[in-house]
Amino acid sequence: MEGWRQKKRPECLEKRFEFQSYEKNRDFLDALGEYCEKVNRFPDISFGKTYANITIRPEENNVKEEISKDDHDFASEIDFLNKQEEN
Amino acid sequence: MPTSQNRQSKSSDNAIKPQDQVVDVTPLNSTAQSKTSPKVKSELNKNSSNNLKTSTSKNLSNSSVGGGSSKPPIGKNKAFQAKSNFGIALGMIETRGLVPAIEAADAMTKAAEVNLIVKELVGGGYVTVMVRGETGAVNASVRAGADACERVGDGLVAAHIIARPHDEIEPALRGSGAKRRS
Repeated sequence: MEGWRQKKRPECLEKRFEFQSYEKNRDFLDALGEYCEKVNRFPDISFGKTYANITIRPEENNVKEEISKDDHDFASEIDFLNKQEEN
Repeated sequence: MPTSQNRQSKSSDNAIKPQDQVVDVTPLNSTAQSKTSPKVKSELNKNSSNNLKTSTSKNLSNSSVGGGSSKPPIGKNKAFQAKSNFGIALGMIETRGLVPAIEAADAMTKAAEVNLIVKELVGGGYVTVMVRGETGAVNASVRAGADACERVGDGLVAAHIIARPHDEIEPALRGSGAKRRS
Protein backbone atom coordinates (compact mmCIF):
# COMPACT_ATOMS: atom_id res chain seq x y z
CA MET A 1 0.00 0.00 0.00
CA GLU A 2 2.55 2.50 -1.18
CA GLY A 3 2.00 6.21 -1.26
CA TRP A 4 -1.33 6.31 0.54
CA ARG A 5 -1.71 9.02 3.11
CA GLN A 6 -4.12 8.63 5.99
CA LYS A 7 -5.76 11.90 6.96
CA LYS A 8 -7.96 12.90 9.87
CA ARG A 9 -11.00 15.18 10.04
CA PRO A 10 -12.46 13.63 8.08
CA GLU A 11 -10.75 10.27 8.12
CA CYS A 12 -9.70 9.15 4.69
CA LEU A 13 -6.96 7.56 2.64
CA GLU A 14 -5.59 9.59 -0.26
CA LYS A 15 -3.20 8.90 -3.06
CA ARG A 16 -2.22 10.69 -6.25
CA PHE A 17 -1.50 8.64 -9.33
CA GLU A 18 0.52 10.19 -12.12
CA PHE A 19 0.45 9.11 -15.73
CA GLN A 20 2.39 9.94 -18.83
CA SER A 21 -0.66 10.57 -20.97
CA TYR A 22 -4.40 11.06 -20.75
CA GLU A 23 -4.94 7.68 -22.41
CA LYS A 24 -3.08 5.85 -19.64
CA ASN A 25 -4.97 7.85 -17.05
CA ARG A 26 -8.22 6.94 -18.73
CA ASP A 27 -7.33 3.26 -18.86
CA PHE A 28 -6.66 3.30 -15.13
CA LEU A 29 -9.93 5.09 -14.42
CA ASP A 30 -11.83 2.62 -16.56
CA ALA A 31 -10.29 -0.31 -14.72
CA LEU A 32 -11.02 1.38 -11.41
CA GLY A 33 -14.60 2.02 -12.47
CA GLU A 34 -15.15 -1.63 -13.36
CA TYR A 35 -13.66 -2.78 -10.08
CA CYS A 36 -15.78 -0.33 -8.10
CA GLU A 37 -18.94 -1.58 -9.81
CA LYS A 38 -17.92 -5.15 -9.00
CA VAL A 39 -17.35 -4.53 -5.29
CA ASN A 40 -19.99 -1.77 -5.03
CA ARG A 41 -17.59 0.59 -3.35
CA PHE A 42 -16.86 4.02 -4.81
CA PRO A 43 -14.05 6.32 -3.70
CA ASP A 44 -13.99 10.03 -4.46
CA ILE A 45 -12.04 10.64 -7.65
CA SER A 46 -10.47 13.84 -8.86
CA PHE A 47 -8.58 13.78 -12.12
CA GLY A 48 -7.06 15.89 -14.83
CA LYS A 49 -5.16 15.02 -17.94
CA THR A 50 -2.25 13.16 -16.40
CA TYR A 51 -3.19 12.59 -12.79
CA ALA A 52 -5.87 11.05 -10.65
CA ASN A 53 -6.39 11.63 -6.93
CA ILE A 54 -8.24 8.84 -5.19
CA THR A 55 -9.80 9.40 -1.79
CA ILE A 56 -11.15 6.46 0.16
CA ARG A 57 -13.57 7.35 2.94
CA PRO A 58 -14.89 5.02 5.63
CA GLU A 59 -17.84 2.96 4.48
CA GLU A 60 -21.37 4.02 5.32
CA ASN A 61 -21.87 1.09 7.67
CA ASN A 62 -18.76 2.04 9.65
CA VAL A 63 -20.28 3.51 12.79
CA LYS A 64 -17.04 4.95 14.10
CA GLU A 65 -16.27 6.55 10.72
CA GLU A 66 -12.66 5.49 10.96
CA ILE A 67 -10.39 3.94 8.39
CA SER A 68 -10.51 0.19 8.79
CA LYS A 69 -8.71 -2.83 7.38
CA ASP A 70 -11.32 -3.06 4.61
CA ASP A 71 -10.36 0.41 3.48
CA HIS A 72 -6.69 -0.54 3.43
CA ASP A 73 -7.51 -3.66 1.43
CA PHE A 74 -9.47 -1.54 -1.03
CA ALA A 75 -6.48 0.78 -1.38
CA SER A 76 -4.20 -2.20 -2.03
CA GLU A 77 -6.53 -3.39 -4.77
CA ILE A 78 -6.40 0.02 -6.43
CA ASP A 79 -2.60 -0.11 -6.34
CA PHE A 80 -2.77 -3.54 -7.93
CA LEU A 81 -5.02 -2.22 -10.69
CA ASN A 82 -2.57 0.58 -11.37
CA LYS A 83 0.33 -1.84 -11.66
CA GLN A 84 -1.67 -4.04 -14.01
CA GLU A 85 -2.42 -1.07 -16.26
CA GLU A 86 1.22 0.00 -16.24
CA ASN A 87 2.17 -3.44 -17.47
CA MET B 1 -54.05 59.45 -10.26
CA PRO B 2 -51.00 57.61 -9.12
CA THR B 3 -50.87 56.84 -5.43
CA SER B 4 -47.90 57.55 -3.24
CA GLN B 5 -47.06 53.85 -3.17
CA ASN B 6 -46.97 53.65 -6.95
CA ARG B 7 -44.85 56.77 -7.08
CA GLN B 8 -42.39 55.19 -4.64
CA SER B 9 -42.06 51.93 -6.55
CA LYS B 10 -41.49 53.71 -9.85
CA SER B 11 -38.73 55.88 -8.43
CA SER B 12 -37.12 52.83 -6.89
CA ASP B 13 -37.19 51.00 -10.21
CA ASN B 14 -35.53 53.95 -11.92
CA ALA B 15 -32.84 54.16 -9.21
CA ILE B 16 -31.50 50.73 -10.09
CA LYS B 17 -30.55 50.28 -13.70
CA PRO B 18 -29.41 46.98 -15.21
CA GLN B 19 -26.03 48.43 -16.11
CA ASP B 20 -25.45 49.28 -12.44
CA GLN B 21 -25.73 45.66 -11.39
CA VAL B 22 -22.47 43.83 -10.77
CA VAL B 23 -23.72 40.58 -12.28
CA ASP B 24 -26.88 39.92 -14.18
CA VAL B 25 -28.27 37.09 -12.11
CA THR B 26 -31.35 35.03 -12.70
CA PRO B 27 -31.72 31.99 -10.45
CA LEU B 28 -32.28 29.00 -12.70
CA ASN B 29 -35.58 27.91 -11.14
CA SER B 30 -36.85 31.15 -9.73
CA THR B 31 -40.23 32.38 -10.92
CA ALA B 32 -40.79 34.79 -8.06
CA GLN B 33 -37.73 36.95 -8.41
CA SER B 34 -39.30 39.45 -10.82
CA LYS B 35 -42.21 39.87 -8.41
CA THR B 36 -40.13 40.27 -5.29
CA SER B 37 -37.31 42.42 -6.61
CA PRO B 38 -39.35 45.64 -6.91
CA LYS B 39 -40.33 45.25 -3.26
CA VAL B 40 -36.71 44.64 -2.36
CA LYS B 41 -35.69 47.68 -4.32
CA SER B 42 -38.38 49.88 -2.78
CA GLU B 43 -37.09 49.06 0.67
CA LEU B 44 -33.52 50.02 -0.19
CA ASN B 45 -31.87 53.34 0.49
CA LYS B 46 -31.31 55.89 -2.27
CA ASN B 47 -27.73 54.56 -2.63
CA SER B 48 -29.22 51.49 -4.24
CA SER B 49 -26.20 49.79 -5.84
CA ASN B 50 -24.24 49.66 -2.59
CA ASN B 51 -27.22 48.28 -0.73
CA LEU B 52 -27.72 45.65 -3.41
CA LYS B 53 -24.19 44.42 -2.77
CA THR B 54 -24.76 44.55 0.99
CA SER B 55 -27.99 42.58 0.80
CA THR B 56 -26.31 40.18 -1.59
CA SER B 57 -23.41 39.56 0.77
CA LYS B 58 -25.88 38.71 3.50
CA ASN B 59 -27.73 36.30 1.27
CA LEU B 60 -26.75 32.85 2.49
CA SER B 61 -27.74 31.15 -0.72
CA ASN B 62 -24.99 32.89 -2.73
CA SER B 63 -22.67 30.53 -4.48
CA SER B 64 -18.93 31.07 -4.51
CA VAL B 65 -19.41 33.03 -7.72
CA GLY B 66 -21.04 35.85 -5.81
CA GLY B 67 -23.34 38.58 -7.01
CA GLY B 68 -27.09 38.64 -7.27
CA SER B 69 -29.93 40.89 -6.39
CA SER B 70 -32.23 38.37 -4.77
CA LYS B 71 -32.44 34.62 -4.63
CA PRO B 72 -34.85 32.04 -3.38
CA PRO B 73 -34.17 31.15 0.27
CA ILE B 74 -32.11 28.10 1.06
CA GLY B 75 -34.11 24.89 0.81
CA LYS B 76 -36.77 26.29 -1.46
CA ASN B 77 -35.38 25.12 -4.78
CA LYS B 78 -38.12 22.64 -5.41
CA ALA B 79 -36.83 21.50 -8.77
CA PHE B 80 -33.60 20.32 -7.21
CA GLN B 81 -35.39 18.70 -4.26
CA ALA B 82 -37.67 16.82 -6.62
CA LYS B 83 -34.65 15.23 -8.24
CA SER B 84 -32.71 14.68 -5.03
CA ASN B 85 -34.15 11.20 -4.58
CA PHE B 86 -32.59 10.18 -7.88
CA GLY B 87 -29.07 9.69 -6.53
CA ILE B 88 -26.80 11.69 -4.33
CA ALA B 89 -23.39 11.25 -5.93
CA LEU B 90 -22.00 14.40 -7.48
CA GLY B 91 -19.87 14.69 -10.57
CA MET B 92 -18.23 17.90 -11.75
CA ILE B 93 -16.23 18.81 -14.82
CA GLU B 94 -14.45 22.11 -15.29
CA THR B 95 -13.43 23.24 -18.74
CA ARG B 96 -11.84 26.27 -20.26
CA GLY B 97 -14.52 27.66 -22.53
CA LEU B 98 -18.19 26.98 -23.04
CA VAL B 99 -17.89 24.71 -26.07
CA PRO B 100 -16.00 21.90 -24.29
CA ALA B 101 -18.38 22.30 -21.35
CA ILE B 102 -21.41 21.71 -23.51
CA GLU B 103 -19.68 18.78 -25.15
CA ALA B 104 -18.90 17.34 -21.72
CA ALA B 105 -22.46 17.88 -20.51
CA ASP B 106 -23.84 16.20 -23.60
CA ALA B 107 -21.54 13.22 -23.23
CA MET B 108 -22.22 12.89 -19.50
CA THR B 109 -25.98 12.83 -19.91
CA LYS B 110 -25.80 10.39 -22.80
CA ALA B 111 -23.35 8.03 -21.12
CA ALA B 112 -25.38 7.23 -18.02
CA GLU B 113 -28.56 8.03 -16.18
CA VAL B 114 -27.62 11.27 -14.49
CA ASN B 115 -29.21 14.68 -14.11
CA LEU B 116 -27.44 17.81 -15.22
CA ILE B 117 -28.00 20.15 -12.30
CA VAL B 118 -25.78 23.16 -12.88
CA LYS B 119 -23.82 24.95 -15.52
CA GLU B 120 -21.76 27.62 -13.84
CA LEU B 121 -19.65 30.35 -15.40
CA VAL B 122 -16.95 30.78 -12.79
CA GLY B 123 -14.96 33.53 -14.42
CA GLY B 124 -11.83 33.70 -16.53
CA GLY B 125 -13.47 31.65 -19.24
CA TYR B 126 -13.89 28.62 -17.01
CA VAL B 127 -17.14 26.71 -17.04
CA THR B 128 -18.21 24.02 -14.61
CA VAL B 129 -20.95 21.50 -15.23
CA MET B 130 -22.33 19.26 -12.53
CA VAL B 131 -24.36 16.09 -12.61
CA ARG B 132 -26.00 13.98 -9.95
CA GLY B 133 -27.18 10.41 -9.87
CA GLU B 134 -26.27 6.99 -8.60
CA THR B 135 -22.58 6.65 -7.85
CA GLY B 136 -21.79 4.19 -10.59
CA ALA B 137 -23.66 6.27 -13.14
CA VAL B 138 -21.93 9.49 -12.10
CA ASN B 139 -18.59 7.70 -12.24
CA ALA B 140 -19.17 6.53 -15.79
CA SER B 141 -20.67 9.81 -16.95
CA VAL B 142 -17.81 11.96 -15.66
CA ARG B 143 -15.27 9.73 -17.39
CA ALA B 144 -17.26 9.99 -20.60
CA GLY B 145 -17.58 13.75 -20.22
CA ALA B 146 -13.87 14.15 -19.61
CA ASP B 147 -13.13 12.09 -22.69
CA ALA B 148 -15.41 14.21 -24.82
CA CYS B 149 -14.21 17.63 -23.73
CA GLU B 150 -10.56 16.60 -23.82
CA ARG B 151 -10.78 16.67 -27.61
CA VAL B 152 -12.53 20.03 -27.85
CA GLY B 153 -10.97 23.44 -27.54
CA ASP B 154 -8.72 23.92 -24.53
CA GLY B 155 -10.15 20.77 -23.06
CA LEU B 156 -10.43 19.42 -19.60
CA VAL B 157 -9.26 21.42 -16.63
CA ALA B 158 -10.43 19.15 -13.83
CA ALA B 159 -12.99 16.50 -13.05
CA HIS B 160 -14.20 15.46 -9.64
CA ILE B 161 -16.52 12.86 -8.27
CA ILE B 162 -17.90 12.90 -4.74
CA ALA B 163 -19.66 9.66 -3.90
CA ARG B 164 -21.47 10.94 -0.82
CA PRO B 165 -21.55 14.72 -0.62
CA HIS B 166 -22.45 16.24 2.72
CA ASP B 167 -25.89 17.85 2.96
CA GLU B 168 -24.33 21.18 3.85
CA ILE B 169 -23.00 21.71 0.34
CA GLU B 170 -26.44 21.46 -1.28
CA PRO B 171 -26.93 25.24 -1.42
CA ALA B 172 -23.66 25.57 -3.30
CA LEU B 173 -24.91 23.24 -6.00
CA ARG B 174 -27.74 25.43 -7.18
CA GLY B 175 -25.63 27.79 -9.21
CA SER B 176 -25.78 31.55 -9.31
CA GLY B 177 -27.48 31.79 -12.69
CA ALA B 178 -24.78 34.21 -13.81
CA LYS B 179 -24.97 34.68 -17.55
CA ARG B 180 -21.55 36.06 -18.21
CA ARG B 181 -18.47 36.65 -16.11
CA SER B 182 -15.48 38.77 -17.13
